[in-house]
Amino acid sequence: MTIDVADVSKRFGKFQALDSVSLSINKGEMITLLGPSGSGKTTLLRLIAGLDEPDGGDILFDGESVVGIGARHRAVGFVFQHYALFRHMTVFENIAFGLRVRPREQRLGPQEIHRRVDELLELVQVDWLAERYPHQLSGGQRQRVALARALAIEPKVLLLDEPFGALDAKVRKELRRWLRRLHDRTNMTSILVTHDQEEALEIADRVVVMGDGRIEQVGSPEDVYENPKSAFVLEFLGTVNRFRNGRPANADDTKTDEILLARPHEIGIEAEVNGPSVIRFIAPIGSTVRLEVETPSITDLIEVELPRFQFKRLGLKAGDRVRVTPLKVHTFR
Amino acid sequence: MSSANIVLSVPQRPRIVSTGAALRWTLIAVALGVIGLLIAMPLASVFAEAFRQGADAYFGALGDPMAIAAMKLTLIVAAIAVPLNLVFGVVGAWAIAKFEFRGKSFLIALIDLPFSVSPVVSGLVFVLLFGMQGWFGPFLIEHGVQIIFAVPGLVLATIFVTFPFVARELIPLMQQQGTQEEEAAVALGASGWQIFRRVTLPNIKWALLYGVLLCNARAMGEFGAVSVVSGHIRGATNTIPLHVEILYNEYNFVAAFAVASLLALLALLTLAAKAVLDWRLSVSPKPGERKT
Repeated sequence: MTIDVADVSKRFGKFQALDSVSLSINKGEMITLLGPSGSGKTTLLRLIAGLDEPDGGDILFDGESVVGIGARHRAVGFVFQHYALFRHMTVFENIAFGLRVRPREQRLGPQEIHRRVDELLELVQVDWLAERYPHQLSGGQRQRVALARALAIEPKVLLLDEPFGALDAKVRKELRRWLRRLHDRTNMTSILVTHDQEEALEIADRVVVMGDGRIEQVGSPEDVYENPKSAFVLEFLGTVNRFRNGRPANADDTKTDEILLARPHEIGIEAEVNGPSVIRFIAPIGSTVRLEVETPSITDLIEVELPRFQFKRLGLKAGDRVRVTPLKVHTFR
Repeated sequence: MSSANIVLSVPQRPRIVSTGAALRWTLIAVALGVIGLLIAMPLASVFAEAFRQGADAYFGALGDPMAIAAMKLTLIVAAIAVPLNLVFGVVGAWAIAKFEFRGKSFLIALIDLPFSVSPVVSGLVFVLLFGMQGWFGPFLIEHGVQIIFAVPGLVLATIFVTFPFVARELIPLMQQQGTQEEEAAVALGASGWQIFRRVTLPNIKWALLYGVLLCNARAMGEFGAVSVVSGHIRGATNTIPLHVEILYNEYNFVAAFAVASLLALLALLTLAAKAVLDWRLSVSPKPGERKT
């Protein structure tokens, strides 16, 4: 199913949560909405689900407006950040819920429901937990059950609101790869909200970067990372260093035309006997090495990332005097 | 268990431990003494007085037609007031806990009003509204409807006084539970009624029972408000508490205590049921809580 968001606005009291946002999503696409908290990403997701109604603008599913049609009739799968499992029902009953509340004429027979739930339990790999209650499950298991519950109604759209936010790093990585594979097997259109840039870049076909109730940039993960359209996007997608006239500058330096921005791996570093800067800290992190470089009269450190082999060749150590220069720079007006 | 461990693990400092134990036991004794004096003894005396002239006199007093009429009336009043307050309470708590609207804090204050107003005043308000000289008095007389000094007045006063019990019990629980499960249900295609019956109600059932229990205990035991609107017509508008008062004022102590023992029994039953519900409420999982 294609989803079109046209000029949608939403206001909560004095807070403008969304400010004329437009976005087109293709059938079968996996989109992530990425942004800091308060950027409007969850609001947009809830409007698409029909859990809230927009103040203005239109939302279309397959070219037809769904504004005014409540969440009940939009047939979207929604996965909540805190799972929102029915706490008094077993895992089995949670998953069966969407099938049991269908109008009588569309409802499947009890055996059919049982078969479908068993299938879903197997799909999300928690079939051995069918008779447990949500409070007896781990976070990762709960999220799998929440996913199975959302998939039970065979939605054409799957909406996920920070689904892995409350999980530890390992389970999170595992689940998001599994989700991506699941998405590829079905022909659902999926939208995932996250504030984790790594997650957004890894899982998505296209990333929608949001800030202050607006869309800052839409593009493939490579595109938004390599060619950010604004300083906001650049800074949100990783650490940024500032330079003025080829010399390091403070992170809060005003954004004039003379300010250049560079990511840690886009910086050249060389030893220089009376160089203007000093290496303060070296952190070898796996395949790369991170260096923090201090420059007199500048309070903020410059972060430099080097491949390990290059770091070894340069033979740098903490306390060495160096010169840092931006290799690739981003400027925004 | 922990106190025993402390004694065993620090034998070199027995004096401090024994001082602590002495203090602890003194406090416990004082607490038990106060409870015994103010609660257990009066409760026991009700039954002692009721049976002072033997079981025959006791059951004779309970079998008195006027006593039976009072019991019937109390049951009728409770049977009307409690279900109505159950519905009002659930609806009010649902609205307050699950929706945002203007005047919400005013509504909460209004629900609490019966707790802060003296029951006698509550009764008086109904007399001023529906009594012969009240605002609607002439209109009611004209249409042959009697509210004050009749059963409708008793029901109204009881509803008013017991209004907060169910809502008060539900609001904090429903607020804590939030609206996420309801949203999940609506996204899965459930109708409003299905959501209420399959999601909301099961989540609040123990708290709801608890509220109903307290509401019922108060409805049956209410004296002040009911006394004002009743008119004390024997066999017609006397509930159990009012009947007890009349018997007592007539120096018919055995009968008064016999009838009062019914209320005491109700209290004991309520207490037992409350204990069971407390236990149920504590075992039912709360949001975010995880048992591993």
